[in-house]
Amino acid sequence: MRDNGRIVFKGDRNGLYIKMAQGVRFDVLMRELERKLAASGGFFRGAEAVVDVGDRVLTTEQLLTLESLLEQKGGFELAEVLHEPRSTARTCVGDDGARLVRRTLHSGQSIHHDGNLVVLGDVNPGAEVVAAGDVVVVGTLRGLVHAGAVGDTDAVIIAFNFCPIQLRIADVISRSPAEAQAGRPQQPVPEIARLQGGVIVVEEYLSNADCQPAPFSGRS
Amino acid sequence: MGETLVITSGKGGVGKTTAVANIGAALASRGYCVALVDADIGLRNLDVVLGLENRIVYDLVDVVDGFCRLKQALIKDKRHDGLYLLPAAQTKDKTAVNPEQMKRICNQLKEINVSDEAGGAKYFDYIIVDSPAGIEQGFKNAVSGADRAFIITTPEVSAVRDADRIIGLLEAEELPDPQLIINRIRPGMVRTGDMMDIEDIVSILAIRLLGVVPEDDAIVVATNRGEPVIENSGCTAGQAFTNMARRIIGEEVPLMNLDVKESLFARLGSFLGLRQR
Repeated sequence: MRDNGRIVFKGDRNGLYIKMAQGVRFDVLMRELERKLAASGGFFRGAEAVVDVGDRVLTTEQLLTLESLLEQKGGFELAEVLHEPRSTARTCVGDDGARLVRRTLHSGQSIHHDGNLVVLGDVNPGAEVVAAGDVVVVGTLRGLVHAGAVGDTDAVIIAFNFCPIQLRIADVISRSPAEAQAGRPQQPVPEIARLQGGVIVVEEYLSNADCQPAPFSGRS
Repeated sequence: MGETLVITSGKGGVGKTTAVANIGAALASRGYCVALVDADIGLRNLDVVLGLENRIVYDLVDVVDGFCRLKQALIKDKRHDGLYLLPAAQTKDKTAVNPEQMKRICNQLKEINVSDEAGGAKYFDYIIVDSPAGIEQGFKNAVSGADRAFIITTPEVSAVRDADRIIGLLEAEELPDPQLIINRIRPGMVRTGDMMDIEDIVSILAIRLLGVVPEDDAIVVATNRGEPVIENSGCTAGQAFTNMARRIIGEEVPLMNLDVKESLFARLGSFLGLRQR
């Protein structure tokens, strides 16, 4: 069989290391992977696989495809997905593309921007903020925010007072728990939402290095 | 030169017409000359609330279509000197008028001399437009001629949502800095946490507050009788509307303390052995 090097298998004592080539479409890679797994004839069955995806960002759907393919065709478990810190990719939606919106967004108003977005004001229910990069709301977030709208799963949403109706990061959607809507927050604290393992996690925003999301490092 | 005000809400039934009638009457009773314009074509109510229904001969659409002169369509209020109504048509709909025509009517109202005496001169100081509910053409007509906008809401989440939507639309119509009227607030329910309080509403909408009207049975009675509630001196809602009228003309009037009134009732209630929440 001809090997075009798009998918490289390496075995070590921990299991299998699979490296994916850069700049190749995901579906092409998956077809290639399927062929290689079939060719291996169940040799790796039961092993754990570590997949290195390079600087690409997998959507949840892609991740699931990968996982089921490894399991069904190769009989092993996806242990870890490695990817390079995408420093260059981040700079594209970085400082140059930031837009400042200095007003409260009322119901029915929407802002779309292909970079990072800062709102100096509130985002009210029924208002919509869509950005390719990160979204920071210096005020109360009550409406809908979609960060990483073109697929950036590293995108984060930060608000000084976090009570959104719905959050979206890349292609993941989450709505706020019903009980959080009821009653007034005692003392609003800045919170940050980001993707962790395919779900949107909201936690208190601390400026400590360990809590700081990767996208912000290296920016001053 | 007169000023055109519009009272709008998005949501229906929150008290636009009542507010227009009462603020208008309050301004007129302070000596100002006021025209009330009903922009709710097809669902007119302002004439009923003012008790002028049976005097309508010509209406707004007749003026726009050139069937009558503007002055012919104006109806003089039966109680207040200086209060006039320009009624809406009931048999047409919102598309009978476009924003340009509405703007022209508002400008004509600013220039019209309504003095009855020969050689006398009396011009409108305020023109108050009663907007229909919704955000479609009727709303666009109502706001097209306005210099200042007032948004009225009740302390309900849905009404506040709609008010917020209106704020955004007014921004687009270049009617900046609208002011807020909160209607039908029940201090007792606010205190027990069952109703949104003034602070909550103002912080969401982020606009200046013109006034707060407490829930008042007198409104229902007065509206059904076709008279403005401000006539009734002992009525808190009437007092609230009067205060708003004074703020519109630039007076500094502090907000009424609704809580004191309520606690008086509460005390009275407990004295009489009534249970209050």
